[in-house]
Amino acid sequence: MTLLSKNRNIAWLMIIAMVTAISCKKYLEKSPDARLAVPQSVTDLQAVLDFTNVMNLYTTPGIGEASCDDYYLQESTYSSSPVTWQNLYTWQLGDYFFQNGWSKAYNAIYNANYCLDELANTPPAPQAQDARNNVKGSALFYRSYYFMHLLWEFAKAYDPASSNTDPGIVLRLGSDFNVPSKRASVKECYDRVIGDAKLCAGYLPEHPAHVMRPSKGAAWGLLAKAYLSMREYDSALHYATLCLSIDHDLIDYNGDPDINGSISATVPFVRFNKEVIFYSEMNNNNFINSPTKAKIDTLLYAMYDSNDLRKTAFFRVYSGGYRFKCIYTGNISQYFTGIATDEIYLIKAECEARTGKIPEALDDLNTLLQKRYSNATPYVAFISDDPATVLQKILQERRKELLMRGVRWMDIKRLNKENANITLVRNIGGQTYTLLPNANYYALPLPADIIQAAGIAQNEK
Amino acid sequence: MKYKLIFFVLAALPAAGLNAQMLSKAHAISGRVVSATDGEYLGGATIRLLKGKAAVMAVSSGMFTIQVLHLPDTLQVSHTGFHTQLVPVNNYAGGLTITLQPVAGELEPVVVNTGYQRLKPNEVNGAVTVIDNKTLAMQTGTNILSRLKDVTSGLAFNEGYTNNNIQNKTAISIRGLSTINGPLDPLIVLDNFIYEGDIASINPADIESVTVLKDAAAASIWGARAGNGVIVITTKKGKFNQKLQVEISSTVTLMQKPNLNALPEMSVADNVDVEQFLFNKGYFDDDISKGYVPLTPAVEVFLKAKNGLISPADSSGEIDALKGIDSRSQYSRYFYQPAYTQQYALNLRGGSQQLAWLISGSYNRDIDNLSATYNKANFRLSNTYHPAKNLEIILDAYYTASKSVTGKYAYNSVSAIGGRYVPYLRFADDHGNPLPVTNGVNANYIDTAGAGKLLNWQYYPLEDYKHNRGTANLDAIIANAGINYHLLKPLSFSLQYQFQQQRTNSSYYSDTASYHARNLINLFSQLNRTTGQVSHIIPLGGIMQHTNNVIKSQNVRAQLNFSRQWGLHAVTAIAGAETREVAANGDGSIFYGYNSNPLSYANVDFVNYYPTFVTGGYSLIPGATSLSAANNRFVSVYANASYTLLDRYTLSASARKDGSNILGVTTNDKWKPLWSAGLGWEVSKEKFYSLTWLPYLKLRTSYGYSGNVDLSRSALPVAGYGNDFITGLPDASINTINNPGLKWEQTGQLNFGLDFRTASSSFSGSADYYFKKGTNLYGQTPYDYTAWGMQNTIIKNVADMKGKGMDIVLRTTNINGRFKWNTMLLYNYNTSKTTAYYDDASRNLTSLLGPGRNISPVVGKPLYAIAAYKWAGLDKEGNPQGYLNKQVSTDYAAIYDEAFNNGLEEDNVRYIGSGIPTSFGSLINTFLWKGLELSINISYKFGYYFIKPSLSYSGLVSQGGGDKEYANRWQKPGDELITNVPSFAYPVNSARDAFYGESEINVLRSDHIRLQYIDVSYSLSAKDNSLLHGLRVFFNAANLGILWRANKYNLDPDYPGTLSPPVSFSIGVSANF
Repeated sequence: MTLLSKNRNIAWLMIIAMVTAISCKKYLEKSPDARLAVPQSVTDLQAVLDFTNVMNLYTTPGIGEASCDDYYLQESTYSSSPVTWQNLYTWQLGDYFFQNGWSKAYNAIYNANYCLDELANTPPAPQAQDARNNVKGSALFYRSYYFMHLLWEFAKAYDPASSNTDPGIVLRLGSDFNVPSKRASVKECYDRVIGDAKLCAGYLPEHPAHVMRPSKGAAWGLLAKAYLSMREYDSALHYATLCLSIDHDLIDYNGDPDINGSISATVPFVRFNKEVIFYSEMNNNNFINSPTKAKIDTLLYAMYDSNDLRKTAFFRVYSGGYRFKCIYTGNISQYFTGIATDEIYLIKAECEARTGKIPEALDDLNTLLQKRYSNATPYVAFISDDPATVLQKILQERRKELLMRGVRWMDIKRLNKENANITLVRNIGGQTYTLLPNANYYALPLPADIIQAAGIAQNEK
Repeated sequence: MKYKLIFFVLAALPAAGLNAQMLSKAHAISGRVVSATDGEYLGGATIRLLKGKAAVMAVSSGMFTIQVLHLPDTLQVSHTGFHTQLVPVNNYAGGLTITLQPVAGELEPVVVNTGYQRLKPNEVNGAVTVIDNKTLAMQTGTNILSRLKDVTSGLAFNEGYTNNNIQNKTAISIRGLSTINGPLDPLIVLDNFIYEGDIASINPADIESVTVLKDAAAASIWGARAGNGVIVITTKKGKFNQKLQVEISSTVTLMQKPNLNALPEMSVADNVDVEQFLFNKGYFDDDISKGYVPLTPAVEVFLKAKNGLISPADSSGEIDALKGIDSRSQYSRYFYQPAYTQQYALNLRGGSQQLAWLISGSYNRDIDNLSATYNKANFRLSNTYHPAKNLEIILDAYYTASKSVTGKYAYNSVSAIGGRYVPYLRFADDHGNPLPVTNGVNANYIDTAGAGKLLNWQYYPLEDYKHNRGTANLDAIIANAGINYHLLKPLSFSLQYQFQQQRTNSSYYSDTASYHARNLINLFSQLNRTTGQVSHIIPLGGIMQHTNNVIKSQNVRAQLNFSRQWGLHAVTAIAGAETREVAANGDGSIFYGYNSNPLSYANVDFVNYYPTFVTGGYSLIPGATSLSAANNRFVSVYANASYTLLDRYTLSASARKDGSNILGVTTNDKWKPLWSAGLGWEVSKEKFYSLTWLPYLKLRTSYGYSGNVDLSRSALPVAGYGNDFITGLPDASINTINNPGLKWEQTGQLNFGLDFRTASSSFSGSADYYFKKGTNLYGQTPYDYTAWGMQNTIIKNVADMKGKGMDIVLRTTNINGRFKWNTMLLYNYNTSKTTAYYDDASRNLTSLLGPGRNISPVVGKPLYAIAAYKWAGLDKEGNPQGYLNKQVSTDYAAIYDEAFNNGLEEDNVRYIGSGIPTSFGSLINTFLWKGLELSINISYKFGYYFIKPSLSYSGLVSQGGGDKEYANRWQKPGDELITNVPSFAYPVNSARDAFYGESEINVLRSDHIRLQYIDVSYSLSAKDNSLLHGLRVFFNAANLGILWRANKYNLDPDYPGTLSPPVSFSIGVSANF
């Protein structure tokens, strides 16, 4: 009997041994293939953020720009386009699917989240503190940057009165795909954008290895852009000023090493020129406003003076209209949407004009325009002491300088909140379409497959 | 769920019929049952009291104890394969030895080896097939798995069905498919442990038996990797108390030279005419203008004629000469030969009380149709010691060394000139001297390029193979060590360790004279045209490529075995734990300027791009080094128990849990075992049973789960590293995201089985009916891509499938006298379909257009399935016609679009049926007269379809060559009434070709019957005192061709457009001393 019970003990011991073996997690954590590179070290994570195909190229959403009034389609272009994109042109966008601006932006956000998650598991090493800071700052910057672009596209303009309830975008803050998506409020979203952008500035260097990488200037530029879109002009002014304290170079269109031979060239400027603070491109999946199809609005084209060199640098005649030459991307078919000094000068000038600093506003505006106008005859500075006139001039120059840069859609939204009363009108196919100020459609529809898979609410029509 | 319910109801039935029988405390009789031939202990023998009605079963040592109420009585002792014996008992005694005589002509009793347990067939409730040594000897292939073909119930060989997964090596499916995207191979187990080496290393001469575990109850003990079924290979072992036995055998197999002329190729003359047509249309002008692009011989002639270099008469003479050449006969004459295989084996075994041993050695030599050789030697030692009463020690080692060397060039491997198939190549002149064939560079260019400073740039296929030699050396060792310790009567403990290592060392050597080396050296030569100096970026000399791969696996298993019988009860149970680690390491390297004597090589620059000689384009020197390392770890616990009551009710259950480093963390952390349960009821042992003509009838049922793991998947995020194309900074692209929920695929299976045997065994057999349900299968599924954005679908455990089928085995003895005639019929039925899949292609019949030889999940359809365009005949210009908006149409792109937009609707596309056999099996007739035995195996496959090879004009124009139906093409109005082959319209329209090739007129029924093999043998019966115990001489002919087929085109449905396996003949002898 004792022998039998001893055997029972052996049996129990075995069972215990088995359970121990099963829980022996470390044993099962070894990577099954040594070549399955699982990015874990700080160097690996930096490499994940340096994958420009995901982090910078064709990444910012583009259906907002396609809904703007800076361009028009010829009848033939319109009628030969797929119905989905015809509807986009006439502000009736219905179901559309992967791949799109939503997916491209969230792909970059996944990489950023992955790095932030992994960084938390990687013990700091004193000799690699700068590298670690750069990964942390960059990941926060990218996430904040793409959250902001998604907000501009898919949410209504920031309005303190309703931002607590207006649906924003999905704030994904981790890399586990099993976590369900839900839409945060516009306020929560802006808080996240602003908070992360402020946080990341502390980690980032002033001068990055490449403008594809975020920098301190880029973080401040991002804050200036975000605050401007929220119509918080004091803050926007503050960060625009900080940004220009680091990055303030402008290309002189009269002659500059960053000009590719001549401003009349097809590609007038070198790709990563002195004005670029942070480089990103617009998602090109909605090719309705691709440079070959989108003809520049004739009224807009007429706004450029004859001695405004931008008229030559930006446009060329193309199949019965004017096409935009896609400055800054070095590629005639891609739109630049990154952060550049010209935009920061214009933000600063606008905020100054709106906060009663008229001389400073004129100074900044003229600094920019002097580089844009021909010096064949000396530049005549714009001067006025009427705040409304100055603001009007700055907004006009903003539209002329920043067309097809991914800012016009947000500008229309926020300016309408300032009672600019911009009504968009399109005449095509024998019909007239209008988009009234502050329409629900300014929060563009989310992709249909996202609504289905994530079960989140679609924007109101 | 429904099946589970049925199962439990059935499980409850016999329990209701049970009478609780109390054991009396009367005296007992005990003893041991042994075999009369070799004194082997006959565990599992049934001992029955004729008066007392009690029965027990002997344990594995042959021992039994039976309670006897009243004396005298008679013991009825029976055991499968032995004559039943009656032993009168008059007093209570121990130490009775009962000797059973084996049934003449019957083999040793079948043992079911699950890899964890050895069981008698009546202890098994699951569906199991055991292929014994004698059946394995009916076929002569050198691969043990190939000998299972057409003799194993429920097992199919799906040759020619391509699926892109490196884990699919065997082409074997057991009871159809259990997975959509996972590995398809069944699990191969060799001597109790998973075998992941090269199956060709195992010599069939060393194999005692093969057990195929088919249903969940049988296979689930293997857990997460048993979903495709398990094939357990058991090697021969020595036996205790056995005289020295020596067995030698020798087999020679001859395989016919393939008949290349049977390939359905269009004629040479037609091919040349098409080249002429294309030449006139200017198709080759681009290539001609470049100067260096290789041209076919016919085009060279047309060009010379066009340029006035030869007269029209000479031109047509040369063209006629080309038309008179057939590459196929050139290949056949210069490269192909009959293949030979020689197999020799020697094995010695014996045993004393303390030691059972076996030593064997074997040698195989293959020379294939292309003179490639494969030599293999196996050496094996197997020892079981019995040093103490309770202890058994097992030590085994199996060593394999093999070497293969490449041979001549296979059909079609040299006939592509400039990517174009040339059916009129000549390899030798009339005197047998090698002729050059244009290869990578234009023939005329070679004459002038490099001003004589480069190496000879001619390619001589007839010589070249001598200068390119691929060699693969393999050595493998499998070592087993184990102990069995009997703790107390019912309980024993075993500890087993197995080490496997397989090392392959491959090389490919192209010597200085090889075209490969000369061509590369020339391409990377830089010629200074003023000084005439040549600098070689690739140094002069040969090129040697090396690859080394080592797979090591280690297994440790600890197991408790419990086996006890008391009165009418018998319990067998095991419980254990095991860990397994498989590590694979590989490296590769390449040496230029290589010379074997003296051994030397030169360093080259793999980093920088160099201009190449012909085009000036920049290129890297090919092939730098490579390294790989993989590691799989498993930790498992398992238990299995069976309880038998009254020798007729058997209840069994098993459970197993696996953890692995390829599964997600959350899967490893969960305690969710794979389980099974089974029930067996030997109806014929019931008192109420009165069918004397059917003395044996058993019903079985089982239900359970097994899993399937894709070893190439990872739960971790995977990135590819590189340098950013814009910034130049190192970058990492995350291509697969982390999936902590990744788990194994799960297959549930419900099985109903029936085994029977009529009186005098003239008719016996079994029938199994099963349902399979695969869940958690890997599948593409849309997801909320807000989470990632790179893709809109990811692979998760989301897909489901269903399968059902039956396996029937019938054996009859038709004539039983001095002349015997036995028949065995195998019938298998299996269908499967996708039940849940979520990508767009799975809801579209257009996914099934094509040959149906790839798994293509379409909901509601079989995994291999064929759909085809509806056919509306040829129009008056010879264009194939389909339907668009229910109207006859030739707008092929629109027809496809309509089909695509219609999804699963059959409008202008028709669903045809399965692409793999749904009914298959074989009929084996055996005739015996004295020592002479004749066995004929006829196999059949029914219920499936194939696409017949058809003519593609785009292929004909861009690559040359096409189907022989070119001769029947539409050529003039009116032809549409007599042919379905479209006209040759130039320029070609690939959508038109695709429509025709995938239309219903090209889909044919595959059903056919094949004469698989004929085996004739003569056995000399053993004379007791002679040195020679037995001698068997045999002749075998295999792959004898198709006896009947449903298609009228004389096509082999399993090999459409290619050659059927050639007929092979073997003769052999084996002798026992």
